[in-house]
Amino acid sequence: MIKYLTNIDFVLWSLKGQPAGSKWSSYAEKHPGDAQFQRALSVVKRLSFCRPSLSEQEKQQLFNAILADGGLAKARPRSLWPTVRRVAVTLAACLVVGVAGVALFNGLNNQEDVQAVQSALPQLSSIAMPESITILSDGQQQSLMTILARVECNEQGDIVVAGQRVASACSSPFDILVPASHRAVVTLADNTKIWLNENTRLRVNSQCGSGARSVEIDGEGYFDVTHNPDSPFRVLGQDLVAVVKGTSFDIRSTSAPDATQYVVLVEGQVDVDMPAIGESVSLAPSQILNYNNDCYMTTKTDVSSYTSWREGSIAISSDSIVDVITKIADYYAIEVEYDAGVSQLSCSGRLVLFDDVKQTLDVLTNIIPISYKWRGKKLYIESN
Amino acid sequence: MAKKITHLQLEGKSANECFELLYNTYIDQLYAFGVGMGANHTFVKDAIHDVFLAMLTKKRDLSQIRDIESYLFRALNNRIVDGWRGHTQSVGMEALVQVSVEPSQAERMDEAYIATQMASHLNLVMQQLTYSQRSAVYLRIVSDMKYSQIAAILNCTEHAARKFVSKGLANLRKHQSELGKWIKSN
Repeated sequence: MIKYLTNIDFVLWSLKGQPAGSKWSSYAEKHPGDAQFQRALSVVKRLSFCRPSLSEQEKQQLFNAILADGGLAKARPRSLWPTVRRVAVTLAACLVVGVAGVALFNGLNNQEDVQAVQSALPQLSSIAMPESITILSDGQQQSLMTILARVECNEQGDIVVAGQRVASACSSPFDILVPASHRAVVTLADNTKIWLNENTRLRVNSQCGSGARSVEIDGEGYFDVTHNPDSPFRVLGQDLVAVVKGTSFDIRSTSAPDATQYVVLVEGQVDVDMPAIGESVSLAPSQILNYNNDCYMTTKTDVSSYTSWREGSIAISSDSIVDVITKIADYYAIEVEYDAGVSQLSCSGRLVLFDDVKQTLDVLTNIIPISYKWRGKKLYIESN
Repeated sequence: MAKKITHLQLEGKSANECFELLYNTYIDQLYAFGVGMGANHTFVKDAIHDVFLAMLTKKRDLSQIRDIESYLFRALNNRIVDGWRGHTQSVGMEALVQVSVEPSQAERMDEAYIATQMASHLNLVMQQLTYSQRSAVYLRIVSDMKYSQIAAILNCTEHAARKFVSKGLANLRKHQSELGKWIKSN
């Protein structure tokens, strides 16, 4: 098999879609019994050239921009509003009233129990996002009036926030919902720490003190898992399942259509299962696995740009200002419009996200030649 | 197979119709080429914007351009090279080869693993080629172009274009044998 896999002409022939008429296709016809060749073929068949492409919307935007600059059409400020509206519509469509309380159950010791309870609960991604950080347990709803919540769970099933017990002896699972501009740090009974990014829902399937360790996530979370070789920790995403024994990694997995899901490993080892396609991959530190539309790719990456959100900042490396503004708009859940000149600018560095959007924008306007003004609740950004 | 446009298809159409047809036909290929050459996404978008805008504003008579495909790729290539001269910072190379995944049985797991390693290895080797070798290999293998077209795009003779491709492939071949050692040791 190796002699074929190390032959670049063979690999390229396969990458090109194995056109007929080449010496490889005639070899395949003449030697149908060559098992090594067939094995090599099934390996290289999995490889293909990346064909990165723009979304239909981006193509249309670019086309309009060319026409506008060519004087053939009226220039229109590009707006982030359609995206915001689409998300709102999706959320509204998914709105499921009430959360069924499941209190009829004690002790989670195996996977079957976890699954039995899961089927009784509403799907994580269908729970409407509240305005403040909310903990749902045993049918009870607890809102936390803080931007950064520190939630601790102990083996007795008590949930403690800032030294105050908000739920005692609650039976798992329980959900934590983190809306836009909010963050949460959850410490489980086994001392595993989970940082939750904005717009994230987390379901803790067991208190993680004993027995199976498993959580479900819809959004982005950074996990620092306490080492326990006897009990692997499972993180269930939309299409990804990360199985770890003790490590630090970042996972983003949302139910939004077409969104890229990824796992970035900081240290240790993580196995990522992709149940939809029946594959499993082990990641090494600083490797990222990107998953989109039943395709995955692993590459080396700069870990800090995926994990800096934990410190309340975003890492930017020669990103367009438009991308940065989009991130800020997502974070503070505001609506932004900008003029065409802004999209020409780019910057690098680390931007701290303050509690007040004004402070963050002041920092940005100090270093980049842009200015901003508010038009009602809408932010308008223009280049100087 | 990549889509192509011939002069015949453009005949009898208004300038704006031609423009739209060209844009829709080549936008994906141009974007993939730019990103494959290692330029960042925003930069490629801007460069494509400039290429088409120049075509629009200079009111260039399209029938005067012998090979529209080569013209577009060449214009984009020039802009990327110019852009790099302006930027001293090193530009990260995007992955060229990816692993696509089909549903498979558990006993095929080792194949998936080897395929993943091969893809990252090929991507790494592609980064080590010179810019001319990389773009020539890309155009020849991925875009399936003739040597005359590659020569037109890279602004060199056909002989030089052949040389870029063969040197690039020789480089790939050299590194591919290293992969063999790795597979054997595992």
